[in-house]
Amino acid sequence: MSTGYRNLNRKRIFVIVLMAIVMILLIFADLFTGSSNMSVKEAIDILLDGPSNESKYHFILWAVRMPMTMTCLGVGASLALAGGQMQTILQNPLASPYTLGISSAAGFGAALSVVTGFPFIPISWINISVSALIFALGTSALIFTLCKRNADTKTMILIGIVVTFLFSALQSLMQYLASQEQLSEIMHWMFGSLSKASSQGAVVCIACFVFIFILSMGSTWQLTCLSAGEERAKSLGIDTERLRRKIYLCSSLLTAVSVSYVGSIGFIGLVAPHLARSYVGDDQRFLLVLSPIMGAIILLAASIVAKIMKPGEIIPVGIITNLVGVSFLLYLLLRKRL
Amino acid sequence: MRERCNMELKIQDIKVSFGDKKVLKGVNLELSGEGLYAVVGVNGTGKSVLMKSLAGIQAYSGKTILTDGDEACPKKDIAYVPQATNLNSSLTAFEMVLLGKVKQLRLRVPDDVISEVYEVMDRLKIRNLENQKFASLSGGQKQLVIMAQALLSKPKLLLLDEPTSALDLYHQLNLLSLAGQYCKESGAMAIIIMHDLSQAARFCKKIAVLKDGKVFRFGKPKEVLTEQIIRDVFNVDAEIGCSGSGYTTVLPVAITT
Ligand SMILES: Nc1ncnc2c1ncn2[C@@H]1O[C@H](COP(=O)(O)OP(=O)(O)O)[C@@H](O)[C@H]1O
Ligand SMILES: [Mg+2]
Repeated sequence: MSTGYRNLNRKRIFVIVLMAIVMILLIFADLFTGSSNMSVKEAIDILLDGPSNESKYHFILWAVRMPMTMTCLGVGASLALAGGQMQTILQNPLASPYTLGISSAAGFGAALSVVTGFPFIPISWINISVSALIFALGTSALIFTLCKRNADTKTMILIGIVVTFLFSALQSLMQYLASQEQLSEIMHWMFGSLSKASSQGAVVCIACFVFIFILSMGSTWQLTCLSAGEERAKSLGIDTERLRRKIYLCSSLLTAVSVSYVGSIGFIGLVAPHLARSYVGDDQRFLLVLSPIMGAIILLAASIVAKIMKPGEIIPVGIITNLVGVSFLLYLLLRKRL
Repeated sequence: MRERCNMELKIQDIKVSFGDKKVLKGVNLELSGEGLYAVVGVNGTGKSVLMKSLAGIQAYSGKTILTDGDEACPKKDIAYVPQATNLNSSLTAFEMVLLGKVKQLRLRVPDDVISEVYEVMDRLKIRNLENQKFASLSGGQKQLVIMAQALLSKPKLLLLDEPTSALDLYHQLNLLSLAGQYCKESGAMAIIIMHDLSQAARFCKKIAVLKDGKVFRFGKPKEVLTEQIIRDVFNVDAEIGCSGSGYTTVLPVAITT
């Protein structure tokens, strides 16, 4: 049976497959770009060789570039999935980890850790991440409990703005108190950069994404109902409170893990779900798959641009996503179809 | 075909207030048997609030008991079509209707569900809207889409909040006779908020008149639609008549001075 609905879905699957191919191509492109003069052919050979310490290039590709690329994949997908979920459950197209202030909370957590050593775990990179994680999760929980009493989604976004202001003020305080050395460490964090990427980090991030992706796929139809509005979802018999809590927890966790790992990479969570929605609509069966793909594509592209913009140096990707993101946000606002 | 249901709805002392403002001050109603029931009243008496309470969207004090024979009905047996739906969703009209079957949907939507969706859209004459974004439809079209969603879910209690207010005559009649037909076939009951009293008399077996947060009168159209009651409730002088086919008609003539 060939119907309008089936045809529409076929088109959507086609777009998803196409974007998945683009993503895979970008993964290779990202692996092949960098400041060492490795040719594409050499890089392919080394990829086929598998990880080893045979040559300097082996090391560069497998121990330096691979973790960065995988981090792009994991972080881009996670932020996009989290952003899409937040937009659905808060019914606000401007919701995302960044606009709700969760990213800046994590940024402050990191700065606090750099300056004061909080939470005093002897291994330094874990120490900073744990501090960021604590603040990200704490802020998510705070936003959620604040909004429980006043479930209005506009209020929620305003609270997000307040939270962002609060943490940027606190962040400035930390920067003021920081030594020159600490300052550059904090900066790194604020910009969101892949230079701290590690294979362990990438694995944790991707594993977390996969886990939460599968969990969310279990509620796709309920989420689709919720995207049709609170009232509609309720009258279709969905326990919206429970669904909200569950999905909010999922997206907070995803956000927290990503930002505590690479710092605040803004706007992926806003832009990617929007692009995905414009291709496949609000049926979450498609949206939950395409959003992360778009997120990964954007971050991989940003990473490639960051590497070639200034040869020999890597510009923090966060700066690039922010530039793209701000223009996109402006476009959304001007379009007035929010 | 499943067995026809044997519906009964008892509404006991429903009260709703917003802050200091008491909107519903103890609504009592007992409906039994299939068919359409109308709720009428002036703007702002709380008709919509009552309907939302029944739909489980509005918190209230008091009790509603919905039973099918001896069994209490779960919430999924109630479908609600609101007065207006505003949302940011990019769902298409088809997808919106499809959600009426949400409890039975898995990763792949089965063919028979798709045909059911088309069938109900055909019956409401909205198949041509299938690929349009729900958000881009007109108010009346949105209501028809939600109505299709409601019918698809095969409810035992259908709640329609001013389903005809935004529709042209053709779609008004189509919608009301479809609702009537659905109730007749399945034994379900439908509660419909309307403003057109003649239409209420034409399609509904009983009419509840809401005034000052309470049920002012409840009964057959002939009993409720009297010059006196219409003057008391609406402040309007009306001529009550009887159509050729025996329905009560209400012709509003002037504002009571
Ligand atoms: N969510 C709400 N908050 C405050 N007041 C409300 C709310 N919903 C309805 N009301 C008030 O309740 C009264 C009844 O509203 P409603 O049921 O929509 O009237 P109608 O009978 O015209 O459908 C109105 O005065 C309205 O202002
Ligand atoms: Mg109303």
